[in-house]
Parts: sequence; C-alpha cells; structure tokens
Amino acid sequence: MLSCRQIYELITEYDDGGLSTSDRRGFESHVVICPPCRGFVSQMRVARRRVGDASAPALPPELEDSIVDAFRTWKQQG
Amino acid sequence: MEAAGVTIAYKFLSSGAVGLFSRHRWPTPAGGLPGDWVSVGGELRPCLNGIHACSATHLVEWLDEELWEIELEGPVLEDDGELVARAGRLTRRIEGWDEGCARAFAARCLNGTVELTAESLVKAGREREAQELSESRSRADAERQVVELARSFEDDPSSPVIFLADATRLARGGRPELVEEAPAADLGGPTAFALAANLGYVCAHIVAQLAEQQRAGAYEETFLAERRRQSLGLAEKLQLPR
Repeated sequence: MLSCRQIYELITEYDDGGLSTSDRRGFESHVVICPPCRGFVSQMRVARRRVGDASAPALPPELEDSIVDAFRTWKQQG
Repeated sequence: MEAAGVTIAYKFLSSGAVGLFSRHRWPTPAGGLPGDWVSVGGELRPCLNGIHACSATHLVEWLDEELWEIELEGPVLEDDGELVARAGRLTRRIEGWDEGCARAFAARCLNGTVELTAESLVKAGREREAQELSESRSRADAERQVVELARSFEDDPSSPVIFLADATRLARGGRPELVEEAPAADLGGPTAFALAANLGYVCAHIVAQLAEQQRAGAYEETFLAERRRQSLGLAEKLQLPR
C-alpha cells in the first residue's frame, strides 16, 4: 500500500499514464480508501485542467526577444 | 483467469455515473433498457486498458457514491478480484447503496472491531479496559472514551486500541493526527462513501493485527478474509446475487 506522500509524488505520473500496472493498482487502492487523497487527486485534476484550458497571451516580438536575450545572458553568467 | 460469455459484475462510480479514476461518464439505463455499450480496443491490461468491474466478493475495495450492476461481454480477465473486459454496459443501479447504507456499513465495521478488540483485552487480562471499550459503543462521547483509553496503551504503538482510537476519529470524518472537527463534505470533508471505504480498510487492519498477536504470520490471510467478509456482508445487505 502506498503512503499519502507517495500519492502526492505520483499524481502527475499517474494522470499521464506513466505508472506500471502494479504502481497504478497501488495508487488506486490507496485513493479509494483515503478521503484526503481522494480530495487531493480531484483538486489536482481541476487545477491541471484549468491551467491547460488557459490560453497564454501572445507576447510582442520585441518583448519575447528581450526575454530570450536576458535568459541567455543569465545562463552565460551562471 | 479468463472467462468467456456474458458476466454480471458490479461497478462503483462517482456521482453522475462518472468513473473515479477514468472520469468517464457512463451511459446509464433508460426506459427500461440497459445503458449503451462502452468498449475499448487494444490489449486488455488490468488498471491500464479495459472495462473494469468487481465481483460481490471484492466490493469494499472500490467503494464510491453509486453502485451499478454491469454486464461484461466477452473474455474477462480476473486479477486479484478485479475484472477486466473488452466491453460493458450498466444494467441497473443498486439503489440500496446510498449514504445511509454507507454509514451503516462503517458503523458495522467499527462495532465489530470494538467487540474483537475488547475480547483481546480480556485475553490479555485487561478486563477493566475491555469493559470500558465495550460500554463506549453506547455512549454519545464514544470517541473521547476510546481516545482516553488509547492513552493507557501509548507504550505499545502497534496496539489495536491505538488504531481503534484512530478509527473512531475517522468515523466522524476527522484525521487521526488532528483533534479538530473535519470539514463537512460540501466544504471538502470526506463523504459518507469515502468514510465507509476508509473505515472498512482500517477495521480490517485492526482485525488482522489482533490475529497476528495470536499467531505470527496470520496478518495477511486475516486481512484478506476480513475484507471478503465485509464485501459479502454488504452484498447480502444489498441483496446482490452471489
């Protein structure tokens, strides 16, 4: 049986279909019997759906260029 | 194991006939006819690909808000009580499974476990504690009683009485590690169905732990037998054919 902490760590992989059959079964067996994890899984799904639905506004080309430049400079300095 | 033909099984779904994990909304029966068939392609794989259901002997492992009878078509894979088929359709809702039934199931689990724990205390020569535990069931402040009793077992963290104190907290929607009241279900607290699932599991753990105290190595078989007993008891209450 997985722990609550493991459920928190595996939720993204579970939703993306990345878990093995036995891990998936362990995940589901835990969520069925653990009310807090049920709530957590359902909240995470709502959050992921909302983030996925949100459309990112297009950046003006000049702003995008300056952000990329700033990132490159920061990488070179790092 | 694989069986062919049509298999009658059971499926728990969240409110609105939605799969707890798949989030698939199942077509429900209407006008006296079963719901539409739902099918999958590709290789059947437990937990990954297929129409999933369970038999009456494994109901408590999948408790959720709605219980449906489902007809599975074609070969059915059985994996540790989980049934997986290529196609299935809902044939009727088991109306007896509702909040009241879920609460009654949880109460039965808890009462039975209190009784067994009290018996174990008698065997251990702790008659006074056993009596206090048995009497707590009929008291309005049962939770406080059991929690106080559990304090005298703090030197034995694996004591079933400690777990029983957790179970009494869980029974009213609380958390073992928190004293505060749990939020109501509509404010994010656990539903009666989630509590039933939780209590069934915790009580089976306590029963198995009591067996382990009597005989080393008895935990696993007792846990599985208790979960099966819970499932069959629920199936009988709901008058499901075996």
